[in-house]
Amino acid sequence: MSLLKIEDLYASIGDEKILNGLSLQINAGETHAIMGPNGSGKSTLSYVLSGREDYDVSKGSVFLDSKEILDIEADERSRLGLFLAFQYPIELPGVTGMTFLRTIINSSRVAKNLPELEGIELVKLIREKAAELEISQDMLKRFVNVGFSGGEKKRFEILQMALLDPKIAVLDETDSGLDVDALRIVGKGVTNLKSKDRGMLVITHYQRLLDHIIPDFVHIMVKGKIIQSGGPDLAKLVEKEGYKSFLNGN
Amino acid sequence: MEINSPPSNEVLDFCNSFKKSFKEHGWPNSKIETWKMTPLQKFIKDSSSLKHNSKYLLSNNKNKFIKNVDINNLESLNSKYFQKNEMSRVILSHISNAFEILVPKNTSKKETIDIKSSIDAGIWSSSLIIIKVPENVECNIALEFSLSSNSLCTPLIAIDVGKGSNLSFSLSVINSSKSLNASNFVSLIEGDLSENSNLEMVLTQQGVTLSRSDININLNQNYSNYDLIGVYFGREKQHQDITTCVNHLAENTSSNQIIRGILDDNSVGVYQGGVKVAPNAQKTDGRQMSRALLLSNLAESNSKPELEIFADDVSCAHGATIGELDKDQFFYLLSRGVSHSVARELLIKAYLNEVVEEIQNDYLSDQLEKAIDFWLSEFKMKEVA
Repeated sequence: MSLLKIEDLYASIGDEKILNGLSLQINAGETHAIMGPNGSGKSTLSYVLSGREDYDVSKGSVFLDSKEILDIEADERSRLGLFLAFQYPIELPGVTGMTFLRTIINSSRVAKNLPELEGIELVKLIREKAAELEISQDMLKRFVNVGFSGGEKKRFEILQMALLDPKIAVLDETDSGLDVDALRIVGKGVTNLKSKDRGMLVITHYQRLLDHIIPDFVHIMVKGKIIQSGGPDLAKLVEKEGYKSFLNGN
Repeated sequence: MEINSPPSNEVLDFCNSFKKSFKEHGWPNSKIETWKMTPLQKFIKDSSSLKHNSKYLLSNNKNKFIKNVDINNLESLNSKYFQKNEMSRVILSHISNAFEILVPKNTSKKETIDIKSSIDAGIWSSSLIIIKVPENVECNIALEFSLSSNSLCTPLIAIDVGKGSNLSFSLSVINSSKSLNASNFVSLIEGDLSENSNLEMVLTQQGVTLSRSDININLNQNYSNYDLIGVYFGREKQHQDITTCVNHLAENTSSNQIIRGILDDNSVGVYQGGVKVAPNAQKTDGRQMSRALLLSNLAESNSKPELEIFADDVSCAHGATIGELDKDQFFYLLSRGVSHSVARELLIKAYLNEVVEEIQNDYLSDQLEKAIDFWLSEFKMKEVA
């Protein structure tokens, strides 16, 4: 069953056209990777999917679990089951990790008609998921992303994903700013979240992340659209030969 | 327990002597530099129809610390400070209550004195409060003014902190019911600090039509320190003004003034922050920082830092920013399924948390948090509506 269906999507920011007729379908249980050179529109795709307002979508449609979401606001999209792990997670000075996680968990639970979690139950849930990602209690007491290392920021993104349990997770350059050890922890965290009910879209520049999060499908994105699709071997080809051959062919 | 301290005949006679001057000059007007951004005539239209009355309640049994105002203290304060400020003639010529808070000497116990004053509709509460903190003691004092519609409150507060003492002082202005009209608060505060003394002050203003606090602090002797956290909240057409002047008059004195404003709807915020360093006040460290957060396109914030430095070995810093909620932070929260109203509330609270964190004294941070929660609860009601 298709969890995410992008059809002929065109998007621009100001006068700059960034997405030029992109189509992609992700079924439940599948992990797709989008690779592409700088400026190919990878991050724009993630922002357009998550509902950032700065972009104009001139054509196309996006269905999340059969529901057209382009006219729906970002918060509602998230509550419908879409999650974006940010390439550059935003700092929230004055908001502690615990307060933030409690707020997002309960926003999602209220949307699902579940009672809000408080006290020990909430703390237990957060601690359990945090431990899997080697996130310390001390980190949860700090202000969100303020003074976090690159690895801490990305682990905190994956923790949010684990707690929100989305239908579709979009991971935007999750490997950027990570050293080898952090990459291993994040890769393991994401892999643990693979499920037959969930689809994942891993956006990356390099093949190295795909050694940790093995994709079912790999797509090459150039100038705002997918120009070639294949299996994991395609990522290895990119690693070996770069994007040059794809660019020449386009 | 009510503070029952009508001014003595001597004090009344003294105060009455200002009546003529009030008749002649009236309220401070916009021709005076420090009143340009807060035109009182726009807010206080007919004060003559209000009845004069001031009620103060002590929430804990500290009446032994309350004394009648000594005329000598009043005369001396007047010649030193009050007469320099136009508001003092307005306040003194309409006075209906006057008392001194005398913190006991030679005590190692940290006294806490909570005083509340409600100003009902149709009332003008004009009063004089003299706070005297002796040498080498620590003390917490909180004053809360709760205003109704069609009321006026004009307290004149003089604070004296003795050598080696610490006073944590909170002044809060709140609204007695959700939406008020013609409720005006204009205060004048004068502070004197002696050697090695410390005055930590939290000022919060919200909910009333007009609120203006004039705070003048004199760091008279070496190693005295003054810290101010001032937070104002504006909504509807409210006008919030915090005007300060810190006089560094001796060596190694320090001051830090942190102002935060939150302005919604058509409200206006004003911060005028003065730091004056006398020629002999070497090694002064004077800082002020004001930030205003605008929640509406129609809200307005005016900030005017003023530094006058006559000594050459000092460190002074000032800064002012005016901004909106951060778009990236807002989107980050939305992308996690947090609704617009909850995201706004969380970010506003975060913006204020940063100043709560600055406060070392739990008593003062509690006072500030109480004021923040009060404002947020009304803000949430508005968002839901």
